[in-house]
Amino acid sequence: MALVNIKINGQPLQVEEGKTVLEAATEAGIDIPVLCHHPKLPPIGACRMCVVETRPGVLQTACTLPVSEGLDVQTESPTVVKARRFVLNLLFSERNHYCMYCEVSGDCELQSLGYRYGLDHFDLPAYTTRFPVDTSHPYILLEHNRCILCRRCVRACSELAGHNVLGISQRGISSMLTADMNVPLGDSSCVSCGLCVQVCPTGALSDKKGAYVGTNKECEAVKSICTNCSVGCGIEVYKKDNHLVRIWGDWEAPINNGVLCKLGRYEPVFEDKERVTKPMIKRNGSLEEAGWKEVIDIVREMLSKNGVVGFASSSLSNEVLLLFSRLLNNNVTIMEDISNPFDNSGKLSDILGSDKILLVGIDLDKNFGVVGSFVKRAVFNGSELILVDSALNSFTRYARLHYETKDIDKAVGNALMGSNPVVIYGQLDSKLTESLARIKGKARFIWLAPSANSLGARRLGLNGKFEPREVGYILAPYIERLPEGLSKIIVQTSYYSEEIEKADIVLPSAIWLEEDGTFINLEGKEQKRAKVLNPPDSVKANREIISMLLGE
Amino acid sequence: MKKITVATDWLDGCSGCHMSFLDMDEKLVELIKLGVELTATPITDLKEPPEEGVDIGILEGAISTNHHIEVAKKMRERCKILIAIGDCAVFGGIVTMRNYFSVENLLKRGYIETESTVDGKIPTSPEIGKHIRLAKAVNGIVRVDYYIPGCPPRAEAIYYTLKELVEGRKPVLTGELLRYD
Repeated sequence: MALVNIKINGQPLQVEEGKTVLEAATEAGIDIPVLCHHPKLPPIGACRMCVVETRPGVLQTACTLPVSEGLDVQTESPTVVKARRFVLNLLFSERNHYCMYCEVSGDCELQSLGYRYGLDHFDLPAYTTRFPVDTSHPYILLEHNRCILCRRCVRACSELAGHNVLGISQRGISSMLTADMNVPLGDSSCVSCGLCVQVCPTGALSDKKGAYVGTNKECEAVKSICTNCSVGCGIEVYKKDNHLVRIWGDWEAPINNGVLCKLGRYEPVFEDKERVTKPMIKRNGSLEEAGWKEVIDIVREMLSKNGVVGFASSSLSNEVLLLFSRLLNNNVTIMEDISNPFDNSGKLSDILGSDKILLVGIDLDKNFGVVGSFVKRAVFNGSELILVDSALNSFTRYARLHYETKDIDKAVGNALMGSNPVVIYGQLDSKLTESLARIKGKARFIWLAPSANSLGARRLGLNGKFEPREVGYILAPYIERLPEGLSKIIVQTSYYSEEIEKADIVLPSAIWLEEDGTFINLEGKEQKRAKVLNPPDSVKANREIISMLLGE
Repeated sequence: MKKITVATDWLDGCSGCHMSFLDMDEKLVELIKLGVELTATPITDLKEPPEEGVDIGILEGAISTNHHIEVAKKMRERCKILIAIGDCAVFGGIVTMRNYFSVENLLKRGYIETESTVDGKIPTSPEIGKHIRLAKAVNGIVRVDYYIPGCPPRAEAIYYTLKELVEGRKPVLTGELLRYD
């Protein structure tokens, strides 16, 4: 790439051709304020905050101005500062920007620019039109009175998340952020990925729960990974006094690039299932609270007498699965079906580069939302989606072709005509496996495994070759259904379910945010999950419980 | 020592800014030692700035009634330097939330329709100010020389501003002293 010589504030710089003045300045450590611009979004130069002086009296937006040979810009000259103050005055005079009753005060980018340019009053009379507040969405609050129409959310929703829900209706002073064809956000096609909230510079879009608990500045941020599905997205968890406040997508995470889905961003914050907080023993037909020492002694005795068979969820870390397997002399099986007949050769980025996407039997708006984002983006870039699902599927409207499951051969036949096809699949029966095998040499295969560490469990060889025994030890954060045919049941779990009433021993375990560990993500890469929160008193990490039983 | 006279008053506000003024604590004593003399203020309970005028006038609260217009104008006439303190005086602030409603509906809601009110009545005494259509910042009615935003404004910001003025400098709020919340 050719280099061009430019000057920023008199400082000579050599910059790659094609970069913008803003990028050049950022790389050189020169701070140019932005509002509508976001480093992960395409620039549109709408707000004029980033104006720089290219010739005396000539202002241009640094976010859209490409560098050129001999360019000489000033980023904080009196003309520039005057223009920025004027822009801020205009922004503050439109709609309601009174910070004292805004939940985002402290995190707001408009506010911090007001401080930076010393705005101690408004030069223009405040606007008095009342805009609606849209509270229809279960997780997101849309406060139009705080909106500065920067369109960050619109671009995030379309360019990054691929959902294309948000847009701007009307023109000029009547411009409004709009969902779909002007319907309430809660009634729209929004899939609650929440990226719009993450990029909003003001209090226009905020989390219904987190916004009232604390600002990001008041919280401690911990980088981790989401283990609510097998994708393994990078997250940034904000916590305050051992309370979960909000979860943001990690912009630096190579797999998801900041994008999350409802499962990763909102469900953990709104989680309301009752926790198991005390060890319990069944006495006279019902579970009673007991001390840790007592239950550990009883379980150790059970383990020493009978052979015990273990059932583990593959949502648990490599470390926990390995220890559990050791505790039970390899008599451990995984509760989910983790069979995969194909090589997991694809990466999520392959979806963007594909010309045909064969999606088999999964509704990506319901599960694996981030994969859904990649598929939607690919479709908007011209890739053809071939959907195979007998059930109703939210991706039907994105699909070029939609086949019943029985017509898998036709779907595969079409995908074979592509030069760069990708197959996305979950559980397969023998018929589907046989058909998909036809495209094996040509396509990249992306397996959406049932749980966060299914790939890790497979690597550990936990594939369920065990002798049936009487006592079962079940290890899972939430137990929907217990295995049949057991006379004694030990359960190690985090949440109450009706099923655990059948157990003889219940060991309360930490949830995913409370225990670290390593996981194999969808692309086969090992990732580390951090411990973000401390578990409640009397609840222990899975690893700790098993170590106690091992006498370590 | 030359006295620097200060008068303060409140308009449509909550008196929180005057609490911040008192929150200067020992710094208020320091200012008094530097020559500041509090004349008419809600704190001294004297109702009007002295006729002979003061050096510094301070107003808290937004302009919401014809009464406030009168008070603001009188303060402006009788002070050399006028400071607006707090978000209501500086920006209009929380008081301007009522601009979304007509004055008639505002009074009806406040005096008759509130859930705890029985047989409510809108007061009509001529001694009470009449609401103007739109509540506004003090600079919507009179010229303001210095602004200390904040809800409430930080005591340190009030101290800094007065100290700079007393010592003959022009105060410019920066950093932690410039806050909108």
